[in-house]
Amino acid sequence: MPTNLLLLPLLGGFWFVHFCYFFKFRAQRLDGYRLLLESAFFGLLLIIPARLITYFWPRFSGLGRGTEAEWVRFWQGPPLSGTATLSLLIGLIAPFLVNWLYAAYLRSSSPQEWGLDDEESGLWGAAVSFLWPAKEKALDFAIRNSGNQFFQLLHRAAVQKSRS
Amino acid sequence: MYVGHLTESPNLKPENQFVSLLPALSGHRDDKTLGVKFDLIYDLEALIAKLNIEAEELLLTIPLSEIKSASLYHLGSEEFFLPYTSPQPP
Repeated sequence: MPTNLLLLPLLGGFWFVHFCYFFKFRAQRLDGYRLLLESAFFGLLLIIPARLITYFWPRFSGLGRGTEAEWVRFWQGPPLSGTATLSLLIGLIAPFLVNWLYAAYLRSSSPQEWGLDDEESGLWGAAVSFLWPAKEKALDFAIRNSGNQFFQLLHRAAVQKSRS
Repeated sequence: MYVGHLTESPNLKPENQFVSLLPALSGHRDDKTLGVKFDLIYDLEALIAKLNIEAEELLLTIPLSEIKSASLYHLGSEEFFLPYTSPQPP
């Protein structure tokens, strides 16, 4: 894979770290170099499913062969460009999918604790309300593991207030 | 000195240098005895009802750098903090 193509999985990794609640809050405390390294790590992880898809899809599907042929004709370029581009696409979509699945899991596992918030209206408001448990849980985890004692205290006070 | 309700957890962003709370009590420490003296009780529920406003409009924002110490407050806990007296020799 040409070096400049590595930028795509790196961008996908950054997007993933920035938007996936599991990593978002911890990443906010990272300095530039650590954030770059973490993004590169997740970018490398994104390459794995991307490579599996670009390798196996054309071998088992006519649509895959057609897509591969069109891609080669369109790009006319470096090998593994499809893998790099697909890793970026996976990185763009995956954090929202993970957040949504985690929120759905929390809501189904303890519906009493995470009852639907009816105050928000509109599509965006409904999405924010639905994702709220996943965000709260992830922030809770991040503060407990990465926050200093003062932040942990403030967090505990805020959690007690929300429960009361 | 403020006692109040934190409305949201702190954000871990380093540039976020403030915390907001709904005050319930405010006071000061006595210069001589260093004991806590509460001066004001904030009846926010009545104020919200009278002015017909949202609770967010009464949030008090404090710079984190101004906070010297913090702890959870339990109503009535101060009666268990007694003045120290030297133990008497038998």
